[in-house]
Parts: sequence; C-alpha cells; structure tokens
Amino acid sequence: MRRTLFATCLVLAFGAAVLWWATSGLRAFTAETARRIAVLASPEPIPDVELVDGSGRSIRLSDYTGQAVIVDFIYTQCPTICVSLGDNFGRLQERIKADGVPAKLLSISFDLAQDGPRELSEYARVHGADASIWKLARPRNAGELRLLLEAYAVIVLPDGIGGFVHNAALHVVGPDGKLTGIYDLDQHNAAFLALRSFIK
Amino acid sequence: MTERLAFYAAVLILVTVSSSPVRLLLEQSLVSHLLIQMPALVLCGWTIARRHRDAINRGRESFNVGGATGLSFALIVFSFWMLPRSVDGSVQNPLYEFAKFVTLPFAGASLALSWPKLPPLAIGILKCNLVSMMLVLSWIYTTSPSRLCNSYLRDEQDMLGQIVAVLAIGLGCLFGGSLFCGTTTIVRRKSATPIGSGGRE
Repeated sequence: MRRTLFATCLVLAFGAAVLWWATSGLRAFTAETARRIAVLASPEPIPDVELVDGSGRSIRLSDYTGQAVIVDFIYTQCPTICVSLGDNFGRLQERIKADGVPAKLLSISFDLAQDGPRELSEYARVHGADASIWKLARPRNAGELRLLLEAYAVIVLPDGIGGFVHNAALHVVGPDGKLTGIYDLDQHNAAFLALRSFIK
Repeated sequence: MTERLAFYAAVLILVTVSSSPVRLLLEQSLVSHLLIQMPALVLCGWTIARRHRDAINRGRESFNVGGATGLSFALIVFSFWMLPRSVDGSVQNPLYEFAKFVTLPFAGASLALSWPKLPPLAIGILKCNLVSMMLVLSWIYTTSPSRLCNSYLRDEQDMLGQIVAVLAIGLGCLFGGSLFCGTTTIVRRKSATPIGSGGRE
C-alpha cells in the first residue's frame, strides 16, 4: 500500500509537471496561444528574405531597420479572412498616419501560383493601401516562402476548393528585426500600442 | 485462444498504424487522427499487455494496489493528448510524434493492468467522467470561434465535435442502460446456509 502511494504520488507529480510545461503554465491549450506567449517572452529574429512588390521592386525586412513593422500573410483571392486582414490594415494605416508613428505595414502573399504583381497591385488598390506606409509583396520562390512561414509559424493548408486556410494574425516586428508580438485580427488596437511602445 | 488471436491482431495493427503511409493517411484528417489513430494505439497497448499481465504483474503488485498508479499514468497521458497543442505538435514536430506512438500504447497497457483491480466506485466515476468529458470536448470543438489546431481545417473540427457528441450519447446510453438490464452479478456468501437455519435438524 505504501509503495503504491509513493508510486502514484511520483506519477502524479511528474504528470503535473509535464502538463504544466505542455500548457505553458496552464495558459496555452493551443499551439497558436503557446506561440504568442513564447514570442512575447522572448522576441525571435526573422530571416531577411527578399520579397518582390507589385511593381517588381525588391523589399527586405532589413529595409525597415529602425522602424517597427506589422506583417500579415494573405492571398489576394481569399474571400474571407484576408479581406478582414485588409480592413484591419486599412484601419491601422489611418492610425499610423494620424498619429505620426514611424511604423510600416507589410502584407506578404503566400499564393505564389496566383498572386503576381498585378494581383498584388489590385489588392492594394481595393484596400486603399498608401505605398508610403503599406506595401504588398511576395517571396521569390517556394523555398524562401517556406522559410518565412516557418519563422512566423503560419500554417497554410489548401481548403480543397482552390483557396487556403491559414492562421491569420498581426505580427509585430520591432525595429531590431525581431518578432515581438502576435495579435488576433481584431486586436489591432493592441498591435498599434505595441508599435507605439518602440518610440523612445 | 481468443486472447492470443487478439494479441497478434494488436501487434499487427500497431505495426500498421505506425508505418509511414498509414500514419500520414490517418493524420490527414483531424477526425481519423483523434478517433482512429489515437484510440487504436491505446487499444493495441491494452490488448498486448492483457495477454502478459500475469508476467508483468509478478513481483510488482505492491506498486499498483487498486490500480492507482497505472490509472494515474494513463489519465495523465490522455490529458496530454487531449490538448489541441499536443495534437498540432504531433503533426509538426517529430519528437511529439514519437512520444505519441510510445506513450499512448503504454497508457493502454497500464490501463489494462489496472482496470481489473479498480474498485467498482472508481469504474463508475471513470465512466461518468468519460461521457461528460466527451460532451465538453464536443462543445468546445463545435463552438470555438477559431480553429483549435492550426494543422487542420475548421470543417474537420466541427465534424469531430459532432461525432464525439454522438459517441458520448451512445456511451451514456450504454452505461446507463447497463444499470437496468446489466450483467451485474450479486456475490453470495460461500456458505449458502440461511441465517437462523443452522440449528435445524
């Protein structure tokens, strides 16, 4: 009986520790939440992948050094969540202008097959993107796209009807090029406050 | 004979579901991942251990009186794999995947060794808890505003929720029904002498 009590306590203590670790201290039950907590606790460097914008110009994250950037991932044919991302970016753009915060917005398309320069420019026009603040771009090839998606932990799945399902979020990259915060689409206020926090 | 057959079937199924093509096939959908692959791993562990339970138990009985240790281990493993984060992890991270294929059969095995020792009250509590936990999971999966697993589509999450609800109701009926027309055997005292009849000649 005493042995069983000892063994059970040992199993329960070890199990509790594992479950505590697996939920980041009972805070994260999904991979998405866990990722957000981890990034807030220790910002992660993002690979400086070359992107191409709607007019064929090259853009790199390092171009933004010294400025905070909010990055989102989209595909222009998206009927649902990317439209919402576009609307939120539109709102953020207005706040950045009104507030004069030295920050930029960058939408990266992961649909290399369909999103060429024309589609990117059209998406920018529809959502009223002001190129001095909000740029749209795509990686040059699938390998670099994978590198980016991995760094931001964005998982893109084909939805079986020609589109994609993806975890959509606002990714705040600090002036040092590190990913410092991930926010839900409707948390654009929190994302904006994160941008302002970089102003010394 | 049946136990031996079940043992070989379990070994065969365990090898099959662990093989790369079947593993990836079952992990393509959230429903087959959670309702076929994971239960299969547990059941295989259970069946394999059941055949050798006497050999495994020998000399170790004192560490698992009433099945407490084995049950605790199994419950912790199940809790871990109920987390959407762990499910995502097993698809994205080979270490999680490896852990899943080791811990779930062991949890099944430890349940097989402990179940016969559990007091009836514990079995009742476990059955009630299983049904209510499945209903809660189903509710979470169907009503969550966002996807719980980044690796799976929203439709699959809804479908999983609905199937789990049906299973929970089915199990509830099964457990509940057995109270009324079950196979409960009333244990009688060995000496069937009626009280007070001892002195009668």
